[in-house]
Amino acid sequence: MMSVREFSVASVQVRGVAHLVVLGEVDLQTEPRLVDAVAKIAADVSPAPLVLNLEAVTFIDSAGLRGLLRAQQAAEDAGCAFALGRASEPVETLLAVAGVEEWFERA
Amino acid sequence: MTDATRLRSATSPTRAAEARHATSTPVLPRELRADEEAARLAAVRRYDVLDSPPDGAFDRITALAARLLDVPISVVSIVDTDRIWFKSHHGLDAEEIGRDPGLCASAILQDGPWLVSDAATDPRTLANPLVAGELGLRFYAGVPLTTHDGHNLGTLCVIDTEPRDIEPVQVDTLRDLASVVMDELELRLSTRRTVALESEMRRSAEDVARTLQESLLPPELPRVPGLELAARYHVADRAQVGGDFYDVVVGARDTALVVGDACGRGTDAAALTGTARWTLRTITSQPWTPAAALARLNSVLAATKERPDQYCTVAVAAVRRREDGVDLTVALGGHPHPLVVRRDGDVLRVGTTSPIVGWRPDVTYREETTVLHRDDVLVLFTDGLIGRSPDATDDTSVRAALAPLAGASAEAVADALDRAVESRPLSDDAAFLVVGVR
Repeated sequence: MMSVREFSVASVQVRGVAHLVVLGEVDLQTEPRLVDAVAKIAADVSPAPLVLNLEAVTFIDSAGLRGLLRAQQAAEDAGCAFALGRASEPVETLLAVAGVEEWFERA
Repeated sequence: MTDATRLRSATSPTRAAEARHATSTPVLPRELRADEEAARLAAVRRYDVLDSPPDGAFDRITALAARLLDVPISVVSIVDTDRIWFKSHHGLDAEEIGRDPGLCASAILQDGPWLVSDAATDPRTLANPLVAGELGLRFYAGVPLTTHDGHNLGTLCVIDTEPRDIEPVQVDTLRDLASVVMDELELRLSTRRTVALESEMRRSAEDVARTLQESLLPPELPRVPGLELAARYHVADRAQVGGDFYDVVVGARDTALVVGDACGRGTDAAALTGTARWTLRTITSQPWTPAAALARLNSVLAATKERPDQYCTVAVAAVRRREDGVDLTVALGGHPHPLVVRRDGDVLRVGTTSPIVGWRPDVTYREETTVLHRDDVLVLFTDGLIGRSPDATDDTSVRAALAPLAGASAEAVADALDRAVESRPLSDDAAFLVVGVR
């Protein structure tokens, strides 16, 4: 039985940039919600740039990384520049192990 | 009475007279034939009610029957091979009685209600121990509990220690309550069947997942001169095929070691796993290097994957023998570094990181060579071995587990890692391949 993951997304616009703050665990269960949230906000703010703040992410796995990649794709498809903001240690570790640090703009 | 008997009674005066005679002088119904009784007992077993714990639903029905018919005793009885067991007994302090003729044992031999106004004088019942004995039962009215396929499991009956008559409307009440008893029994049977079916479906999903998983792993590790191999696969959810895989391919010059993890779970992940494993088998059957193999695999997966949102992480290693050990060349497609336990207890990461495999078409992969000596042990693993804890985001715990194992056999190292995996809840599949240099 899978347990319920702690996960939420909050957004705020500062000086023409949409910031999305992700809290909790990003994995197979929550990753679709991350992608949906980014796609929705990207459609609203396009063409304003979008920054994903991952400071409050407590866990991320390979499915979570897929979520980041799909979120990037969704934002760019909507015409938004996409960047990762500050990120917690689990996120930085995963980006390093996955060898994809250079695939993301950093804000 | 069936239509056939009614028709016969109407056309045959003699039989009609016999029938009238039979009702005026009650006799015991004929016993069931052995095959009929066997089928009836099979039905009793099917409902699995004998010796079941007390159940409030049946107790409410017997209490209701006693109140509505104004009698002190009411019982739901199930007639077993050689006893009558009470599913519910109201006003009677007994769990079961013998299967003596006259009361419940006779009531189940026919389809209508079984009515005895005064058991002490009725030739059908006067010899029954419950009547002749100290209990001294006098009045009995029972309705058989008939299954939808026509077997009488037992009765709902009301009993008094005084002789009395029963009104037809009271018989109807008893019959209605008996059908409520039967509904309850059917409900319990179908609930049990649903639960059994669900667990059967779960088992068969597990069988499919296991079969699929086995097809994604080598049936047996090959023997490689100078190397000692052990591999393990821990499944987080036995009903779902996982995305981890490992492989060992012995070539003319190099032996290929592969450990990978397709993102996600279930059949999509399994499909990607299968493609990745067989593609690497094909690539390593030609002259190859780990970095070139990953680049090939990446372009194959990026071009052919059916869903655009899948990728995998893969560690590919080439092992080549040399005078004093082996040259180990490792390329990592977004995969955790394999670890080497040196003979002196040092644990080091080997290989160099390149991006995940199959997401983007044009990616450059790099590789790094390390010399392993006799008694060094190499461990390739998937991130399920690291686990899911906020303070274990990298391989620290795995390195700590390996440090005391310097010089151990590949099997001993694999066993130690098994224990590490089994000591905590497994949230993701974990695969590892252990290679000792001999």
